[in-house]
Amino acid sequence: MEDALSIQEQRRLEELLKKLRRVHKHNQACLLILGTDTSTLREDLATEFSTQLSPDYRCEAFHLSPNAPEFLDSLIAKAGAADEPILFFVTGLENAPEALQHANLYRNLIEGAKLRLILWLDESTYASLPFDAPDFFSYRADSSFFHDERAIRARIVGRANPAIENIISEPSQAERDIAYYTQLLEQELIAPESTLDRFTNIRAALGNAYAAYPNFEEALKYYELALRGYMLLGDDMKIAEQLTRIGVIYQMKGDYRLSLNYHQKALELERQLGDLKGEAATLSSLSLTCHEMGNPDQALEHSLLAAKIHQQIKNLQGEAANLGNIGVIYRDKGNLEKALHYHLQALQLNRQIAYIKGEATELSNIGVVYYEQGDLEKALSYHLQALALHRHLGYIQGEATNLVNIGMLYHSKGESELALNYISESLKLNHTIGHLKGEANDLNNIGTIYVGRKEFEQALIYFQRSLKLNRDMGYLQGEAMNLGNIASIYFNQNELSLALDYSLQALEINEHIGYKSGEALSLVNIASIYLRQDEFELAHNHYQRSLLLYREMGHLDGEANSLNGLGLICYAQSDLDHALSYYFQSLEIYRQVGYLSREAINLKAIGLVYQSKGELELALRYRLQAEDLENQLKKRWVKTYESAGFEGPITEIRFESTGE
Amino acid sequence: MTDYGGQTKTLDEAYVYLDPLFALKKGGADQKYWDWFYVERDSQILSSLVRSIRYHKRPRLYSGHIGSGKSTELQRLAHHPDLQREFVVIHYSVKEDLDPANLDFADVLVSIAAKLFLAGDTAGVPLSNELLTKIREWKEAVIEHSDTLLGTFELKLQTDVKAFFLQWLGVLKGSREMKETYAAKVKQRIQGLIDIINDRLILEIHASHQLGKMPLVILDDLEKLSLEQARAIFKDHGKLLSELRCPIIYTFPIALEYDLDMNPVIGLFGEVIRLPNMKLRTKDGQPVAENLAWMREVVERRMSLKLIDEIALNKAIEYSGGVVRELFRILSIACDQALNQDMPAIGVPQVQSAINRIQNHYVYSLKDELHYPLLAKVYETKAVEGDQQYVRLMHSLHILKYANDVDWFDINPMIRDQVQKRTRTINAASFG
Repeated sequence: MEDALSIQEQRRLEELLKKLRRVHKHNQACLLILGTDTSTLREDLATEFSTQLSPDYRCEAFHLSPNAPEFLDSLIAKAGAADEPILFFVTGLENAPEALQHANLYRNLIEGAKLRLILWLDESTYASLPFDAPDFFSYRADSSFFHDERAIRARIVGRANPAIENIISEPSQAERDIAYYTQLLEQELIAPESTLDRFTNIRAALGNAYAAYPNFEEALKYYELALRGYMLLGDDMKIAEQLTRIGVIYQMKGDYRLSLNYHQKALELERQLGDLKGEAATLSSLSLTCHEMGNPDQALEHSLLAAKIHQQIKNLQGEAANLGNIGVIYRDKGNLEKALHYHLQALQLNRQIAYIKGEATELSNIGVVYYEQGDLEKALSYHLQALALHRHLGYIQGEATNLVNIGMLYHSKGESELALNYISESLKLNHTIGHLKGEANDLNNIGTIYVGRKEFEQALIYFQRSLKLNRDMGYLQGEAMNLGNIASIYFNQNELSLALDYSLQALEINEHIGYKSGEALSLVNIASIYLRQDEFELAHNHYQRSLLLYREMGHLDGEANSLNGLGLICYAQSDLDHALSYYFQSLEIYRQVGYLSREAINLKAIGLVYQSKGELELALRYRLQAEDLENQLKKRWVKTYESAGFEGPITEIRFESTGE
Repeated sequence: MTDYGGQTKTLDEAYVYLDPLFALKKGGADQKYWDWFYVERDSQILSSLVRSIRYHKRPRLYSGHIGSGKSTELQRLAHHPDLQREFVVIHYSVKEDLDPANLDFADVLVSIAAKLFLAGDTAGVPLSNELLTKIREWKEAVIEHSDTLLGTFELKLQTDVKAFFLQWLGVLKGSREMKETYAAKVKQRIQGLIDIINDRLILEIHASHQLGKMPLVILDDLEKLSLEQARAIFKDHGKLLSELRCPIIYTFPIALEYDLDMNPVIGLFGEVIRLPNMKLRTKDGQPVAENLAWMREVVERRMSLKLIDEIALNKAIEYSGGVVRELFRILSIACDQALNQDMPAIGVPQVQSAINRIQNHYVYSLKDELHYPLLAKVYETKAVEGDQQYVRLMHSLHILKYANDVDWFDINPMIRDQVQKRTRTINAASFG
């Protein structure tokens, strides 16, 4: 069944099976209306139902004859004569309009006789049922339409991209949009009064639907078609809009280099046109791309300008969003005070215009800043406020984000059970609403927690599941993250060649998409592996490369980690003076950014070097300092790191909600 | 929190009563469910129905959306003490007592005559020889062949006529071919039957010392016929149906009220009596607290409100559009999901997911690009026009009707987002 159904539809199938088991348990009647687009799929589904529901039900096929419309009577007779529960598979309604009428009039027989039946319909009968038999329709327990993925794949054979192999369905809204606009497009093809204008608008809308789905390849295809259409029409505003949209898709894919190109083209055009609104939107999005690429200064510049334009054109919501984004950029630069300042400003503005969703986003962001500052209590309180708002709004995706952030807080606190609870909850929500990106992230984070608990087998399962989702979506950055995390497990199990293999794959993707912080992380991880293999020169090279990247990004934390790694190499080669020099550099940075737990580890490392040098008094002094700090840390509820980055690859934890 | 007799305390138990197939029935073994779960509706509608029956004493049309609780309210009407006191209540269903797939106007009239006669006979009313003679003469004019089943009845005594009508009802329900052998003649002479009902049957029941009350006929499930069938019965023969001289409640598809062709016929019945949907918001979007509370009570009587998150319940109610059966469908699917996920209560995600599921099919059926502009117009103007497309969309619940002093319409909340979005995209080609 797996290759025939999208993930969402497989889940729907699971739910229906559970439903039928429950119907059996409660001895209820049940009318399911299921549509399929191919008869092969119908047969496969029927087989699946029969196998899965045995021995609760015996499944029996019943084909409607156009000459004998009173099929409900026949079913009742059959069900009455049988000595076990029967689930009827009724087919043939397409050619038996009188049977449909019969069903509409006598639907109460279903309840009276406790019939359980699945009515299989083709696409057009399924669609017109609410019109043709409203009463019958209104009595269904559930209805669902299944698309045959194999047929979809067959239709798109020959297309180059392998990502299309697994089209994933997502929020049903997007699914419906795709079906609708596809149909509209087909209608438009044969419509005599069709115009390029309409064509292009529909294609652009279809691109939006695929972006939400998400199927990035299809989204790109339609956006590009729309782009060409608008070019022929000479509609410059629309051209710029499509360019930005394409840039956004590349950003969503995590392919930042291309994203940058498209955004810049759009920006150029919008500036020529004097389209301020478009420019501000492009700048916001461009800022995010730059941020992800590890160019915080450029990101900042774009966001500041976007905020200014929004202010000028009196788009307060846009202004607030950009202020929030500026906060996120400062946070990642390690300037938490400034980050807080901007988040608070954004919060105030959102409250002023009563934009609750924005308010909740900022509360979340403030929570993350407090987390970074090590004030977990405060962080928790902000995440809880955001959670309450999201629940109030019924905005489930937001709720899921808050839950995962709270879970990661507990993870930092070392309370892995609680952390797992929260993240599983988030996973459930994301799963329910079909938010695949969130789901993949949750799975990854759960894996990370299992790594912390040293339950590597479990961790591996979750990373693999996350990897499958990310690959299916074509979300490259997520894929690289999973590969890196899988590498960390092999590292922990001392399977160094496997670890290296996965890390190199991650590195390749990160390089390709221009995701600098991912690239740097991959380099650090690869260096750690070489270090363990005593390949000091290779290890040194990789740490050096990561150091350069981190410095370029202004990523202090990462810079210190790389320096620390370089120190470790020198120590391992008994080059004690160089080791000390690196360790002191990293110590200074840790003190500067206030990462106490890392400072402690660094102090310990310095103590070890002095011990090796035979300077025991100094060795003792640093060890005592380290212990002192560790004791302080134990008393305070502050951020501690699960996996000491110095000893092995760092598993990547992903927080969500970084502005709009 | 009020404790209700049938209120379930776990989702597993609640599941059974949230099933949209589960219908309330007054009387008999199912009376306990009625007592547990029925929540009284706006009494004004029932009182005006009762008033109309008591004072006008004429045939009326009664309409409402599928799943809005019409049949439930008709049961209540049939058991109303004032009506029970003043009328001989004859309540039957087209679906259960006749053959709705082959129903025509003549069958409706024959069934009314038969039911009236049988009601009188059961109560021991001695019917006059004149009446028996008239019935015999009419029968002989329409069913002359003595070789048919009905033709062999002699109709000399009241018991003969009783057996004849019972047999005829059986034919109407079960023997399509036999019915067709004399259908043409019955139709030709249908006025004769109407005269028998009006000039004799109603009066004799009314005047009898055993009953002494006027008959009230409640004919349920006529609105479940296809629009074409209903149109054939009401449009072409509504005049005959309106001529009977006793109160008769004909259920009627709400969609046909907006069929321009039907206007003259509807006028014959006076004002249509409607069971409007529970209006959850006013026309300008203000929530209607008492109706929201009514919907809540409907739920609370079946399950403890501890089993559902507050926001989730409000959301389910809002998306039901005030159609009770839709509310149960949302809750039933959400309950299913919660049970699948081992949740102790229904939360917002489950309700949202149920709404998405139901939305799917509504939206899926709107293939025709023509529908969206119409729906957008309804959403904007809160009115419909007498176009066939509107009629279809109302019949399928895509458009819902609400009433207070002035009737107004809205699109089903299930499709609201979609309609707004599509209209925006196609017309302005601007994206959100």
